[in-house]
Amino acid sequence: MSTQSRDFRGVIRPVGVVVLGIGVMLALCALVAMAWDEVAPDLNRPQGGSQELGLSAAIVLVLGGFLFGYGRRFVSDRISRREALLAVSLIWIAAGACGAVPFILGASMSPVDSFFESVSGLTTTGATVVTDIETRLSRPLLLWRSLIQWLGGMGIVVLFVAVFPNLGAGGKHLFRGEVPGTTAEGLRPRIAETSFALWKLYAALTVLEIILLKFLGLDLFDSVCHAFTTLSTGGFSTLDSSVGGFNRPAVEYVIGAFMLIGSVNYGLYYGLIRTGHWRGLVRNIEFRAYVAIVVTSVIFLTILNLDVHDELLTSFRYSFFMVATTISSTGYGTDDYSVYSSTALAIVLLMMFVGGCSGSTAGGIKIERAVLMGKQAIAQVQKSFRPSAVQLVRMGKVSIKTQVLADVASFFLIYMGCIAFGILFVTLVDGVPVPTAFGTMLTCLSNMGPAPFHQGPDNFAAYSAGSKLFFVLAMLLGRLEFFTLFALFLPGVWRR
Amino acid sequence: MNIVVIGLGEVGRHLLSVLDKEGHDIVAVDSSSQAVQYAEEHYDVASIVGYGASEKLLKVSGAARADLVVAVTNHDEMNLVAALGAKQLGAKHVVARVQGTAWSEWTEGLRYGVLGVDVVINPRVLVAQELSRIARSYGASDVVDLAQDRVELVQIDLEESRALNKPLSSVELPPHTLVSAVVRDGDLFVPGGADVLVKGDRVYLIGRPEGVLAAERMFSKEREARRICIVGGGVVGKALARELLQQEATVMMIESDLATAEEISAEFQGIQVVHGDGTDGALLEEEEVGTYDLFAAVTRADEINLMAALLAQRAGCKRTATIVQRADYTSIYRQLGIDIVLSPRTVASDQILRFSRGGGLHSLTVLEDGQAEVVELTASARCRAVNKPLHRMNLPRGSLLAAIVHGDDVIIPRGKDVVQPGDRVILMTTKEARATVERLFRPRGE
Repeated sequence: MSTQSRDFRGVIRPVGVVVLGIGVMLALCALVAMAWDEVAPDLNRPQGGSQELGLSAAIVLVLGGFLFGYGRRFVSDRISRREALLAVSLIWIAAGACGAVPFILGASMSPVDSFFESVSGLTTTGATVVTDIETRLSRPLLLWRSLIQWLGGMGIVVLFVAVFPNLGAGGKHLFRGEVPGTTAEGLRPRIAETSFALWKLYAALTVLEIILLKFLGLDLFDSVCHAFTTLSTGGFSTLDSSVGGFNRPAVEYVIGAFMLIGSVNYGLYYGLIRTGHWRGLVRNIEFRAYVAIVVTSVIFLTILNLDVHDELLTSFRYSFFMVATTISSTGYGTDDYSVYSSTALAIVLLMMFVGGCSGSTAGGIKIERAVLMGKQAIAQVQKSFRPSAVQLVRMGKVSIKTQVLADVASFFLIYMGCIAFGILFVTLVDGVPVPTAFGTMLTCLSNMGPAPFHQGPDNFAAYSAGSKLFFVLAMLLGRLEFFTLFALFLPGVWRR
Repeated sequence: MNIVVIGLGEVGRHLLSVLDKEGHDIVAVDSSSQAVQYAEEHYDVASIVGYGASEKLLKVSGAARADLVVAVTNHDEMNLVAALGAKQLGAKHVVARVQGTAWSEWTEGLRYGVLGVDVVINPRVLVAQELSRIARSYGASDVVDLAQDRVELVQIDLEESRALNKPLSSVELPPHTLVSAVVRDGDLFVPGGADVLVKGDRVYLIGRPEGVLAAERMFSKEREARRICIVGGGVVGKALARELLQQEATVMMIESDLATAEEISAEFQGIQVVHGDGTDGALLEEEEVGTYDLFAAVTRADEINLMAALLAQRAGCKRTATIVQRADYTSIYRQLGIDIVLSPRTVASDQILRFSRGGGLHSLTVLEDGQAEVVELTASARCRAVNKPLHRMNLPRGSLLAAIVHGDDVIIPRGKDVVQPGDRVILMTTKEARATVERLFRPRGE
């Protein structure tokens, strides 16, 4: 057999288009920020930044134009599965790199730090290397930081597919590279319309939250930034002390609610709007499991946290927000879980593992997978004493194919394998204790943000460049749910 | 447009590929999960595995809201029931394909409104009708009747003749005809007066039937086929024999199954039926196939058709025709020297695709694998193209107004001719020009 390598130059153009898109976003962001500073300046924050943003836009646009122009020669008729995997991976890495440029220029951060910050934003992780947000980042940069999180939340590839409807079946392959599983598909027969519908919903919910936050008395700038990072379940804040810094219960409840809304399968909302029936939403097994987990966790945490917050209502306020921010993998903070009791901390850790619903912007293993694994485990145990019984794993009325179950099982294995490898890597390179290394891997893979068991201030500034790049990889793996990126490491993708 | 395609065989897949490119919302249904998987992988469509005629499936697939439901599984009855069910649920147009002998009488190839289904198509009978028209022509390799037989579109592969190697403007074509498209090295273009036809080109002539016949005489040495040999006594073979007998041609049929052969002999008087294998070279020699004007291999097996046609060629038959189920094979057959290659799949999908366009097309003929198409429609009073002379109509490059049917009158238009509301027009467009032409003829505000 010959081992000729495949021609993958067909992916240059889509990557170029996305880079151009990021450039346009940068330019828009620069213009808006400039106008904002002009009309309603905020003297409490660092000034400037929009010029640097504009310069970044120019650099990124030139780069994108070059890629697009070069790639135009290698346009393939139809994007194959292999090309789609590569394209999605490259798009995310390129978008991360482009998103980093303003941080290098505008906040004099090192390239590695900027790349970390940018990827952390795009993957909606929300982990930061900036120790002094309020004194280092000007408003244009903060806006950009929130905007990339918003873009990454519903997915840049999904946006790409929505904007370029003529990709045919190739669009479907791209979509699957970014949103694995089939749950979000099939809203509309055509993938471009599905993507567009998802983005419209997402944007509408964001606008709604901006209005609510503004109505509750937040500054418009803070409302916009926080709405961007709430629905994307990202977690970047404009304050060093995160949402806790506002110290307003109403704001916390609204943001908490929207985090919970953002971690439900968007397909269910679409069904609700289209049919007008609540049935599809309420009968959905994953949604029910999600609600059950949220409600029980809130109750347990509220009771357990009475040790920390003496009053019931206060305990409920902080516990509700903690549950919302953790299960949605957002990572805003109003409360310090390091002082929680061990049981309460364990609940928080478990929620971080599980994450939100499939087809949402949340990270983690996803509730659907957790439910399937549980049902599969029960079925297997039953097989031990009744081997010839037909045991179908069902999700509602639909029986799940063994192929899908195998998929879920391998997902879980890869997830655990990544955590194990990550602990080895981080303890070796940075010499931190095992729980700390575990916390960082968990937070990166589930796109959460803050790391449990952290020593010192809860950010990633102190890690070495090698570890930071490793975390970047972990965040991308978590966001793209492993298969897309890992496939590129198999030789079969590259060889003929 | 919302379209449901039930049955993902050859025709189903072909429809998906075309409809997907045209940008419709498609739901594909098949009982085989492999077929569905294939569709899922290759086309941007939603898909469902299931029995296409079941009420539940029709509901789930959204047939009730569909503009077009197409049933093209391999089971005729299932297609009819699925189409009926979809119609009852509220689908706007339903189309069913049938192919068996039992149903061919119901349909005569193509029938509207029969059994409660909008259109029932029997592509095999349609192919036979097309073959019989080709047999009647002077050397055409395809003949399509348009505007209720008042206009004819023919495909001719050019051999050496006086009309070649000079600008088209100096070629004296018979009245009421025109060369609408030329295919050279696989690429189709709409010729202008300065273009020169050369040997090996394939041209599409359009015009009144008598004019087209005269034009065929100019371009081809072949004459009408009077003696025809058919291999295969299936639906196509029988339908072809029936048509040819009406044209008073001499027909010989070779059929390998004795019972079928006897049955055909009993049904058709005036046909010489031979019991034997169409791919048996000795038999073909013995029956002097070389003396026949046209050899048509129309069994259900592509391989047998091809081999029989090649053997007939070797035995001295000048014109050979085959049908081919797998339309991908068409170009290979042509390369091997088969003169006429027809595919029931293409015939069926042409009939179906016109419903996906809206705007009430009377017919749609796809040329050269979708490089161009000929459409026939009634010009509405509210479209941009009516009531102005052709030269002010702004037809885009790569398109041609080939004929205007005004009442009983067929006009092959020149610059000053005008399309009046209610006229039936025949347009040829390349795929690049299609959108612009559609805009011109779409009623305003639709």
